[in-house]
Amino acid sequence: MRLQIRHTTVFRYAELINEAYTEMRLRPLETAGQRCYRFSLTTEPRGEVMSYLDRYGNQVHHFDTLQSHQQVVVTASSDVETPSSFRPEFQELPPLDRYDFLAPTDYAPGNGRIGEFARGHLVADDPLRTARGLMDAIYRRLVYDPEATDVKTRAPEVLEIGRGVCQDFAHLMLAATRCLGIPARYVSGYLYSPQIVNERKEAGIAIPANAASHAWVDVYLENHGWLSLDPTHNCEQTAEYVRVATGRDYADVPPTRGIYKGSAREELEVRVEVRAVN
Amino acid sequence: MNQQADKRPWLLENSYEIGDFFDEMFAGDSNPHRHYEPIYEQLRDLSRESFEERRRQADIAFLYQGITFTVYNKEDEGIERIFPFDLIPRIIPHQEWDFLERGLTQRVTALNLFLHDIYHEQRIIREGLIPPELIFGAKHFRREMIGIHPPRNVYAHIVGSDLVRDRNGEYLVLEDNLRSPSGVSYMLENRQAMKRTFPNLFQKYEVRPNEHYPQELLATLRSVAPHDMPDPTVVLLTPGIYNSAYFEHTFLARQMGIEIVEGRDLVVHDNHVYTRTTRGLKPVDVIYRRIDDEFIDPLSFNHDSMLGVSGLLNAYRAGNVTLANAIGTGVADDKAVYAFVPEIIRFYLSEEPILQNVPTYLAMRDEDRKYILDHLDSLVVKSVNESGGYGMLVGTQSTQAERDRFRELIRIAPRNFIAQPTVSLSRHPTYQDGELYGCHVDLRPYILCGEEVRIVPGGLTRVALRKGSLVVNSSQGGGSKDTWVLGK
Repeated sequence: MRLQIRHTTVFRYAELINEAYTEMRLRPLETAGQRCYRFSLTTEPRGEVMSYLDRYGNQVHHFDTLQSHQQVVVTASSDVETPSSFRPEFQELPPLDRYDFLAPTDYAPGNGRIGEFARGHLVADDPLRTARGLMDAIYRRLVYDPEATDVKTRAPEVLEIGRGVCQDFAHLMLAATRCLGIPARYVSGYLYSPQIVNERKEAGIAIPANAASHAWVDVYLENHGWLSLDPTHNCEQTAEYVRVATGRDYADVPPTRGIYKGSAREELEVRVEVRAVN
Repeated sequence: MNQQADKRPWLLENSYEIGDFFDEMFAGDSNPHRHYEPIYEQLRDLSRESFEERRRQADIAFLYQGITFTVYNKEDEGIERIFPFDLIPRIIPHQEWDFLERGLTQRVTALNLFLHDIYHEQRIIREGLIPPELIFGAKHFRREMIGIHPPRNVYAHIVGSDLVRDRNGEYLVLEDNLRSPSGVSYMLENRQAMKRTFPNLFQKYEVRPNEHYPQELLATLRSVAPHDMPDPTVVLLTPGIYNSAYFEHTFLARQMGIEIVEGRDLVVHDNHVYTRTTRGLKPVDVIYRRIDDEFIDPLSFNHDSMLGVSGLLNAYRAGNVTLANAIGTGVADDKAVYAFVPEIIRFYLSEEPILQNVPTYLAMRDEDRKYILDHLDSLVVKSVNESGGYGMLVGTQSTQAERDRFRELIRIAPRNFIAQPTVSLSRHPTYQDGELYGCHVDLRPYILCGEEVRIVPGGLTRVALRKGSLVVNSSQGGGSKDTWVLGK
C-alpha cells in the first residue's frame, strides 16, 4: 500500500527558552519490504537538521535551536510503500539483540504477576502458538482506554488496571513474551485504518489528532525469524502498518526527545495525517 | 639483627619487622636491597631532628599548595584532607621497570582492541570467549557507542592500572582504571617535594624524570584530534569545584597550558563544540574530560545532569570532537571483566600476558559462587561497580554482620560481585610517629595511548597508613610516596 504521512509536532513554551536540543525518530524504516520513497523534515524556526543511525538501526534526526524562542514546529513528511505483510528474511539473532530483546526493561519488567500471567499461556515447545496466545489474551484482558494511562505507565500497572493504549498493550506483550524466553521488540509507527477510527468514534472514544501513531511488537521465533504482532487489534502486521523505529521499549524509540535551558513548561501538540494514494 | 643494631639508622632502632611480606627495601637477611643502599646510608647519617625538620617543611608545602582531596563518608558529607606524603621514596630498578612497561603496554593495547571489538563486531563474544551477559549487562557498557569510530581507534587514552606485589615480589595487576584515573598530580607533587627536601639524594641516584607528564599527556591528546588536524584546541572538562579531584584538574590544565572548563562553558551547535568567550564562540577539538559518562550529555544520558553539555554525544558521533577517554570505557575496568583480561590479551594479540592478574572468582559462576560463600572470612569480596575501596569486604578483618550482609548481596545480584584471595601486599618502610613501620604499598602507573603508548617512568605509590590496613585508596586513609625509576 502506498501511504503519505505528514507528522507535525509543535513545541510550545510558557516563556522564552533557549539552547534547545531535539532528537526525532520519524523516518519510516526501509527493511523487510517497506520502502520510503521520500522523507523530509523541516523546522520552524529554520535550522540545520542532522541525522544518525542509532544502535537499533533507526534514523534519528536532530537539530539545535540556540536563540530564544517560545515555539518550534517540526514537520516530517514521508511517502511510503508497505508490503502486504511483514516477512523479513530469516536471520540469526546477533548476540546483543538476543540479550537486549530478552532482558527486562523499566517499562516491561518480567517479574511477579506478569510472569504468572505469561506462564498461564505457555504452550510447551511452541513459541509461535505461545506468542499468538499471549496476544489474544492481552487483547481480551485489556480495555482500550486513552484516559486510563499516560506515557510513563509501566506494564505491571497496565496488567493491574486492565486498561490502556497501544503503548501499554505493547509493553505488556513484551514483558510477557520475554519472561517466557521469547525475544521481543517494541515497534513504533503508524496505522492507517479508517475502519478502526470509525469503530472508535461509534464507541464514543475521542479521536486525538495523533491517532494514527501506533505501537506494536515483533517476536523472534528460533529458526523462523521475526513475526510482527499487534496486541491492540489482535492481528499480525498488515499493509496498513508503517514501521518507523524499533527498540527494547518505548524509551528507545520516542518520536521526540529533547532538552532545553529554562524552567518554562513545555507543551507538545502532535498531528498525524496519513492518506492512501493509488 | 642484634649484631647489626648499632649500624642501623636511628629510624630503625625499634626493630623494624619485615614480617611475612615482601619488603621493598629490605632483603630477607634484613640488609637493604642493593638499589636501596644509598638511601639507607643517607638515612643512617641523618639526625632525628634533621629528618623531622624536613618532614615539617614538606607538610607545610603540601598544605600551602592546597594539595588536598575529599573523603566521602557514609553520610555523604565531603571532608577535605591533605594527602599524607611519606619522605622515604620507593625505588624501582630499571630492569624491573622495563618489564612493567612492556606488560602495561601490552595490557592497554589489548584493552583498547577489546573496546573497539565490543562496540563493533563483538568477535570475542561471538567466538564464545566471554559470556554475552557479562558485557551487555555491565553497568558501563554504552549502547550509544556502537558504531562510533574514535580517532586512531583509541578508547582509553589515559589508563591507571594498579599493581601490587605478592609475597615473592611478583608484580600483579589488581585492577585497571579506564575511566578517569586520578592521582597523577600527587605523583608530580611528590617528586617536587622530594627534590626540595632531599636534593643530595638525587645526586646519588640516576632517577628518571617524570616532570614531563603534562607535556606527554598534551601530546597524546593532540595526537587523537579529529581529522588529524595539526593544531587542535584542547580543553579540560571538570565537573567543578565540588569534585574530589578538582585540585588535580586545575593543576593539569595549568601545566598543559590549556583551558579548564565546566559544562556550562561549552555549547554545541550543528554538531560542533565551542567554548563561550567574551568574543564569541571558539571551536573545541579535543576534550580531556574528568566527568563521568552518565553526566556528560543530558540529551543522551542523565537528563537531570547540570554538569554536562547537551548535544556532545552527537558532535562526538559525527567525528567533530574527540573525548578522552571515550564514552563507555568503563566496561573494560568492570571487575568481572577484569578476570578475563589474560584471555583478552591472548585473543587480540596472540601473546601470553606479561603481567599476571590476581586470581579472581566470579560470583556469577555457580562453582565460584559456592567457593566464595564458603570462604567469606578469608577472601576479599568486591562489588564490580564500585571503585575507591567502597563496597568491599575484607574477609579477614570482617565481622559476622558484614559477612552476612555480603552473603545476601551476592545472593541477590551475583553478577555484581567478585572475590579474590587476600594478597600479602608488599610493604615499604614508612615513617610514622617517630619511627619506621612496614606499610603496604601499591603502584599506579599512568599509561597514555595516542598515536603511541607512552608511560612516564614510575607512577603513584600509595601507602596504607593505618597499621595493618590493606586499603591504599586515598579515600580510605592512604598516603603516598615518591616513586623512583632508576636509569641504567
